[in-house]
Amino acid sequence: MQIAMSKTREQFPLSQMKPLKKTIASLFSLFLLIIMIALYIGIGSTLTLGIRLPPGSILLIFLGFMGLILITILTYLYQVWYFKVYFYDLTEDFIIIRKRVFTPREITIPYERVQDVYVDQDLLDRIFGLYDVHLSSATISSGIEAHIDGVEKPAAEGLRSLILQKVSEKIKKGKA
Amino acid sequence: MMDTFIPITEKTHPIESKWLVKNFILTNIQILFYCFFYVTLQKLKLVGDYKLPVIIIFILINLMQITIIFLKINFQYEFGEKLITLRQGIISKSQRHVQYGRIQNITMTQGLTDRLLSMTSINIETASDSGGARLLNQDKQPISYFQIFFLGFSKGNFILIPGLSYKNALNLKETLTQLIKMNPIDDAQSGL
Repeated sequence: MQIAMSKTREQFPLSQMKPLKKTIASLFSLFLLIIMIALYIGIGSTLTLGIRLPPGSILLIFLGFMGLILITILTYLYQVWYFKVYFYDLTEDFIIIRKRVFTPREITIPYERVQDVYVDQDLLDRIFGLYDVHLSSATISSGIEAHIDGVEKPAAEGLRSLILQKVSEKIKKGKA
Repeated sequence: MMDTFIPITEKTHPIESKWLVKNFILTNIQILFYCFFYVTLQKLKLVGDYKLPVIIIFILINLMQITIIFLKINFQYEFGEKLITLRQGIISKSQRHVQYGRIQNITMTQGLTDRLLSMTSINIETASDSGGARLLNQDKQPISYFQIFFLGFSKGNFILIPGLSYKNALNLKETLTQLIKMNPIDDAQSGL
């Protein structure tokens, strides 16, 4: 499967860590929930039954583990696919961002309409050393859709300065 | 590039009827599913016997869909050389003109069923807020099928053209980007 390449993505590539980070981020709450339930059941059963496990529970735990591993692998594969179809391009006049595998969405923003460019990190981003470059026009949907996430620091800085430079060029051209 | 400019209208790039058929079938399947669920609950004696509300909801939802069909018939758009002109409304008609320079962003989306039928929606947004439509659509982007019943195809800051064939949608997007380039607005207002 081909990576959705563009000039911008060649120059400022996505980090290889992105699929891993996204897998952890999407499975974190599920794992937390399962650990809580397991602890609850575990403590409950030790209090009522002693340390003995009820019959058949070993098999159940084994199957549960297998299921979790399967879910993790599938999520990771999906995230790799997502990583491959992730497309962003800073063309002459427009910023184009296209993402998602099964239900693709593409947003096109003219440079003159960019209101705001910012770079941020959440907790997992800080652990993996990733940065998200957000940009938005005056609409709500652009705030939701228009971001390039999972780039490393030089790429994030480069993207930001390139967008800012192009925006100011365009505005000057408009004023002249 | 565009020596012989032919405006894009609902005749050259129509909203496909299969978009309406698809939504009609999908919503009715959903209703049937809920009905089935409800009947199961009734058989388990978990809820009482309320046939009338279910029937009323069924009729109302299908009336809404019929209204959307009429909205679609009455929705005309023309991407001319200088302006986008929109005409819509069944009883109360409205006309709208949008300058190309004022377009904030263009979003192309494909749902799962859209993709199977190779259809695409295009949503063109400006920064205006006429009619307070944004309040109704705070965090749901793009506009869902039933919101068209309340908002129409274009109100507030959006112009939604759903159910275009993929080829037409790409063509429309390309033409739009060309037109935006050709019609800049002098005082480009940006926050930067």
